[in-house]
Amino acid sequence: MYPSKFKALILVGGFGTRLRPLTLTKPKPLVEFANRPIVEHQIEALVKAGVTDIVLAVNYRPEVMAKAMHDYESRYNVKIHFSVETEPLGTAGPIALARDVLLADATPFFVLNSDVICEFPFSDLAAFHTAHGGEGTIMVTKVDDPTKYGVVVTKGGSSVIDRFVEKPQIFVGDRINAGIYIFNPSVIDRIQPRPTSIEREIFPAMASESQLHCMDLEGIWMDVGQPKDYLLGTSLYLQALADRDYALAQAAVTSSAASSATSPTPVPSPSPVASSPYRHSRTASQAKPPRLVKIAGPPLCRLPFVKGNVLIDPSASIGEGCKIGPDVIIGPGVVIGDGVRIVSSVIMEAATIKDHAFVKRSIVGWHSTVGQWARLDGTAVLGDDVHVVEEVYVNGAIILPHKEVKACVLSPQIIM
Amino acid sequence: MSANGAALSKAVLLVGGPSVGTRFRPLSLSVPKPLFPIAGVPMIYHQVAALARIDGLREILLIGFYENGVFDRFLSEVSMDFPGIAFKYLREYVSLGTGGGLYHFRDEVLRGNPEYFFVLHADIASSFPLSNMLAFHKSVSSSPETAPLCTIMGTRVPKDTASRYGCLVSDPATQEILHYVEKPETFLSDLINTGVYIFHPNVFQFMAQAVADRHLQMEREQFENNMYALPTTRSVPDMGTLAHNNYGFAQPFQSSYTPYHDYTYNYQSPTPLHTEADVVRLEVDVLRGLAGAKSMFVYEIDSKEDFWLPLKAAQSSLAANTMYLQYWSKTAPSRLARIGGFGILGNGDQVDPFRGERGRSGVYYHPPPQKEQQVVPPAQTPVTKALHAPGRFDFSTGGSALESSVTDVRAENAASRFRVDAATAALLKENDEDVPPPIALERSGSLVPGLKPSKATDPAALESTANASAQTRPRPQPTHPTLVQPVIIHPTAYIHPTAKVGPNVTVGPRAVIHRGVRVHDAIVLEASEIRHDTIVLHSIIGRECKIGCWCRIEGDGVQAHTSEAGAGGHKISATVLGKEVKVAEECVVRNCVVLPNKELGRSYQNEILM
Repeated sequence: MYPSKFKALILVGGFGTRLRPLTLTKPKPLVEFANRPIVEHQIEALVKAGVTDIVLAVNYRPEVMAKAMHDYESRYNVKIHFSVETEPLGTAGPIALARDVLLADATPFFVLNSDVICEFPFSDLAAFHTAHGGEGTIMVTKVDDPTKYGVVVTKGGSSVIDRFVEKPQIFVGDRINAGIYIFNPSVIDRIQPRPTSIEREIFPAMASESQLHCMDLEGIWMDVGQPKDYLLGTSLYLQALADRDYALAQAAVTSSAASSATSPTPVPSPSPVASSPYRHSRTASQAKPPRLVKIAGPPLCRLPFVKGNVLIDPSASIGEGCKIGPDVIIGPGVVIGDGVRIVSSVIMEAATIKDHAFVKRSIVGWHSTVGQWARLDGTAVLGDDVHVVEEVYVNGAIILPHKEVKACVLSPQIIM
Repeated sequence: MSANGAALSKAVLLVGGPSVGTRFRPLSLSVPKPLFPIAGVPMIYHQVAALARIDGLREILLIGFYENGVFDRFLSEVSMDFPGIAFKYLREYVSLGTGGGLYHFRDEVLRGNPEYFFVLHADIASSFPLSNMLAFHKSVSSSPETAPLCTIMGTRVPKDTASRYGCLVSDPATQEILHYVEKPETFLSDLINTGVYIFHPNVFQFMAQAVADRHLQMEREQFENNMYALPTTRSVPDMGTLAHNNYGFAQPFQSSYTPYHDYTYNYQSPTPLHTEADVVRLEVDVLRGLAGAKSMFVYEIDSKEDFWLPLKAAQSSLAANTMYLQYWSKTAPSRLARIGGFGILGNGDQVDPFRGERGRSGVYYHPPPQKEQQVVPPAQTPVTKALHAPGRFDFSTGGSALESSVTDVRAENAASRFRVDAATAALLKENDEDVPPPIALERSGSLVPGLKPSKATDPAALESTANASAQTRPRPQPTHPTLVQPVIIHPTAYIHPTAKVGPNVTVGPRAVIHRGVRVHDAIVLEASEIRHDTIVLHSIIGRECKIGCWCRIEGDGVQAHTSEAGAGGHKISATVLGKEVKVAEECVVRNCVVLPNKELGRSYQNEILM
């Protein structure tokens, strides 16, 4: 059908300042999302779609990432190249810089922004791209408030992009650029090795020649480049995992029902709805077959003290009398004390939440400690190795690494 | 003279009425302010307990304008606790000012010819060094007849707060008060009136003069008004007879206003004919006049040994609670809570060192000395002396002495842990329902049916076989709660073994503090409930409040004198929950004052919630 040896370019770029203080410790692609580095989600999905060569366009601490990427090369059987920008080249520059890899053969190549989380339907995208025969395809996602973004306007009824409208004041559409593209190698000829914006310079040119198509991205999409969106993206991702688990469970029950129907003594099988422990029961007539969510990740945690969608690393340990969830991710080696409440938060590797603490809408960085009866709320972000003393209330504060928080921080502020 | 040789004396507690002390709201909306519990007992119990230690003090009169029944229960309690003392509530039917009520009931005060009498305001918290003050009062003159008319207990306060009080200027050598101004506009002195007085009975003659002067003044005003008004048949006093008499107390009281000084009154029935002129402000009308007349002295309290606080705003009761508890941890640690049961309470033949021989239920006793608390070495005072002083409790020696005496009893009772009565047990059961019991959790984690069979069919889901197998760690459960002294816990309160309470906490009767709760610098009142894993700091939890789990009830912390800061636009420094307030789970209530019967469904900060 279509060539299965794709190449991909991941635009990692700058210092990830928006995700500080986490990016003070690790380059943004290595910051964990759902207990795995953000870039690993992307690499894994790319490999699954048949990508054999990945170029990381970086200008920030490539030496830190080299080892991690080396691991991924062997784990995913993929070749990972670094394209180091010595000067910022905008979003299009790295494409030109990586032309040696991307022009190795005539297959299309993927381009994606490094802080996007979605289902990564690269195979579908490649198939769509090959089918329409245009020079490039960008994925678009539907948003509620298009006025904040650049809106993609298509030519009536088709997938061909007509124009881009940056931050429209009147409604022209609700599809925005999702930051995931596929291009034919010929696109590289459009790009000069100078600072160039792919979105503002290359895309409009391609659109004017009707060479740019768009494809709707199904399911979740979130730019997790800043703490608030990171947490929002986490809850979306967990919901996608829940939907996936639910679809799998239904499929399994349906298939077992089908097989039991053929057997001589049919065993009454439980209704798929009633057997699901985490769905409100619906009548069979209302239930429509769930969309098959193709997202990678471990099954959600379903334990008595867990409410809603929660992911807990098996190496974490949880005390008694806790209530965890919804929308919580607990990393490896995390120690949670007794009577701890965690809501809508991410606890990074090797952090400790002591007895009776309360963590809500917050990110607890690696090796951090939240003391007894302490409270985090309001998108508080603790960097690496931050210690919140017992009984302290941290509301919406951003704490840089290696700090000890001894007094209450009541309003959103940055603790240097 | 009384039987044991000490001079007969009395005391008057000025308790005020429901229309005053409004700054104590919302706490005074549910209980009369003088009866609001501080350090486990009603506010005025501290005054009574201090007065009861004065030899020869035979009667304590409460004067105020609350309804008659308000103090009945309190009076019967203190009558039992202090059997040597008679208690009476004298009701003013009209508010007569701080001195008017006292003057009105002067016959009651003077009955039995006391040599002197104490007057104490209800709205103060102090260690009440009354014995020292009395010794000073007696030292001023050689014979009772020439004793000063008044001795005021004074204390030093920060300069910027002095103007909120009555300020004294005294002769540093003789302690005579040279000048007295109530709430001066500019700084006068940092020595202020604490609202504790010893009066000589002759002070009533002076007060009579003050009352007469006021009558004359008002009549004169009326006369002057009438001169320009319609003609009247009212007889006009001859202005020539209205000469002032220079505060000569012994001089017979003369006034054209005749009925007042010889009408007969009965404090049980409404008194007739009170006019505005009968209002006597003790501070303004009496003390200011006595200043500089060699008849009023100040006893300054030792700020190292003793403490004094005003109890005006509701939040100041938190500071007062802390001061009493810390004072007791130095002087009477036996009053503090102890681990291991009810000690000797509720047992008729044992002695409660706080309440006297009656042994009424009151407080826990503290644990054997631990690192966290300071205990003064036991005094050498014979234990028996303290035990045999009915209704008396010596702050300086009795506490530690009794402490050593109750050790054996404590050991006997060590086995009885925090007991839970049936009602409390039901409450606990009912409210812990949604908390999963500590169960052995399955290792498999996922409860999604069919997930395992699909292993082969969907690699995406299961390439990571990592599954949450989070397990509860077996941890030894504590057998008793952690107490950081000083703490007072009522014997009928329930504290879960994993809770941590203190310092500076008083927990009232039948309060329930659940698993993993942290409380410090707080007053938790009767029958309130704090659910699991909640933290309460610098707050007053009203009667029958219900606080949800994982809440944070918090104030910034109260400073003793700054808590009184500015009447208007003041900053709330403690969270005060009125009676029967409910707080939903996981909420933060910070620096809020919540009126009774409110239900808070979300977090609040820096608000007064009507």
